[in-house]
Amino acid sequence: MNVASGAADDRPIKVIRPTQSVIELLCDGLTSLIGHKSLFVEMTLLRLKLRFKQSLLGWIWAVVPPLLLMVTYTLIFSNVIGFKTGDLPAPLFIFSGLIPWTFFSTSITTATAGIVTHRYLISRCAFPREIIPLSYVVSALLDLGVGILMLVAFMYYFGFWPTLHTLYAIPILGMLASYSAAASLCSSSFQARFRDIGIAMPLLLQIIMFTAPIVYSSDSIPQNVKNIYFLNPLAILIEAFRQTVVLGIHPNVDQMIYCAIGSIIFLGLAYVLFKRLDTTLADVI
Amino acid sequence: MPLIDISVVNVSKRYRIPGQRRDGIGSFLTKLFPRKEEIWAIKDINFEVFRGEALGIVGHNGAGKSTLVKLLSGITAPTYGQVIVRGALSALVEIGAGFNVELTGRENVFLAGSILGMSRREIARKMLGIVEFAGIGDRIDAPVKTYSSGQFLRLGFSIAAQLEHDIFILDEVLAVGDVAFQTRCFDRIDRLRRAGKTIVLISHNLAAVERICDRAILLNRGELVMTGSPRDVIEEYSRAAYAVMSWSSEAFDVAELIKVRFERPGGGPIQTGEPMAAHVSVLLKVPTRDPIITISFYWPSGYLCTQLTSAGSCKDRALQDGLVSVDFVCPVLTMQRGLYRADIAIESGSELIAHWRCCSLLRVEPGKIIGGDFYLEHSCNMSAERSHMSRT
Repeated sequence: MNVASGAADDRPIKVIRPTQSVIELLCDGLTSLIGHKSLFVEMTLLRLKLRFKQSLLGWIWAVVPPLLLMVTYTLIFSNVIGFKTGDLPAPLFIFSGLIPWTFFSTSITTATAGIVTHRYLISRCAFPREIIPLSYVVSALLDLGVGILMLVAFMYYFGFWPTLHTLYAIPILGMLASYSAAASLCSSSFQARFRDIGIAMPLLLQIIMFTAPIVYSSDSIPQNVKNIYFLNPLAILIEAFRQTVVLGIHPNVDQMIYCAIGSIIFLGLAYVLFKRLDTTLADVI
Repeated sequence: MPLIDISVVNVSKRYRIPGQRRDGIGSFLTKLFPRKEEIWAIKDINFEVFRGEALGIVGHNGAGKSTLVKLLSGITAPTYGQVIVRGALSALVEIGAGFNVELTGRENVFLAGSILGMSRREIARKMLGIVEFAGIGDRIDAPVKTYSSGQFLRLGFSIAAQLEHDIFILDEVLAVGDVAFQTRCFDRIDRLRRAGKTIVLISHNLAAVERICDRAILLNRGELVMTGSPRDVIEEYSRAAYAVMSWSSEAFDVAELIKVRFERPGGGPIQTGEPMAAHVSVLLKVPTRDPIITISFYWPSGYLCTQLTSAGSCKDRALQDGLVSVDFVCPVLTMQRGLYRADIAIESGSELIAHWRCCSLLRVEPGKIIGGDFYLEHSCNMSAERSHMSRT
């Protein structure tokens, strides 16, 4: 059993400690995340597979919620209340807002509930736990892809054509995904300790939905409030998504830079928070 | 000096258990700042695991074994101190935990394997070995929810058994499966040992600890009580276990146990391979027909090891009430070194009339040392055959 102590030893050293500095935490965390990239893939695949097992409609569930919401909101806000939707027909306007919004709300809701579903796994296995909420975000991203195909079909029906500006949707959705991931990391790590956040989630999301121009046009916001209104990255991104994809308009550069910086900072902070709470996650969940 | 694979340095782990809470007014505040009971599951523990060694961790329920496993494998962080791990570590702790019952066995192997840090290609390469080890066959493509609990556990362990890590933590894995599967597990552990892997074994199966480990540590209420050879540690563990085991009697008011004594005729310690005598004195309160007095010796693990009985030797005797003395003589003690629990029972006409549980301990010191579960008295003759070599 004795190995000469002079022998070359290139094994990795891992230190398990109560607290780590932010730098160590980021380095260790990202290294182990990369080491478990196949788990990330498997977890995401699991989400997709589970949709087919014991569910009749499978993928159709990716498009049913935004479609139903679109019909409902069009009837209420456009036909009954009479909100103006600018140059766009109301169904197209609302649907183009609902697609990114559904992605955002689905990621957070499923990620928050999902961390508790994996309680058993968390208390028995060591692996980068952020994979759990993040896999829900990626799986919602795939739903978003299906939703965008639907949106393009809608645009065709109403006589709108995608332009080169539509490609701006990629960085816009990237930023939205980053905010979703950050929010999911925060809410799931709190949910592990206090289930209240999961109970409050539907209500919170309902309120947040009305802070962004999804069912109404931002034109109806008074000019003096608009500066404050567009401090909300969600409002900016949803507005920009609709402008670039449907209307083919160049997005506002200042707003995009603001969102990009914000998304990086928010994601970084959320990751550090998650990893900090992660050290004792198995004890409290 | 051997290389150190795991160092546990001044490690303590505190759990906060929510205390009693009043409902009603102020319950929100008490939830935010609850009065919490603190439990130190691990208290200031230091030890090392050397490269290529098998270390056993022994202790009662609640001694902190599971917490220690969680700390070593990085499932949770210590409250104080640090654990330094050198090399790829894998904890085989109910890996079935990673299973999703809706998926098939094969899909779950990919999922659980990736939790253990294997790549998809690596898992695909090992799939055949995993299915074979688990003894699952075609069922691998059936949903896991249709598995029996044995199949479920076996598949879980089989994935982990195919790992090629440097350090293995085995937590009660030997409690899984039937005899054939356990044999495969032991074989696998032997192969890991030969490959020079470092093993930490946590088990209530003391025989397995003794068989597999080079060294063992004993935990008691979160503290490290002892480090030493598995035999020594198991003896200390069983001594402590018997100390807390309340000896009980079902004498049914017919008899009273006066004395139990074990000794070596002619003096000296009781040793394997040497003679032993046992004396029992019982006060019978009623006349008894054909009493049979039996001493049962139990392994530390609780299994019956062997018995001494008066049946056969002293037959057809009606005893008056009063003091009865029974003497047993074993010409050669075949029991191996260790601490054995002794129970005494009196039967009369196939009816149990008195039973004293854990009424004494038999300590057997190492004598004629030989491998295995017991000593077999034997003689041997060796001679050379001139005409031809023959095997008999």
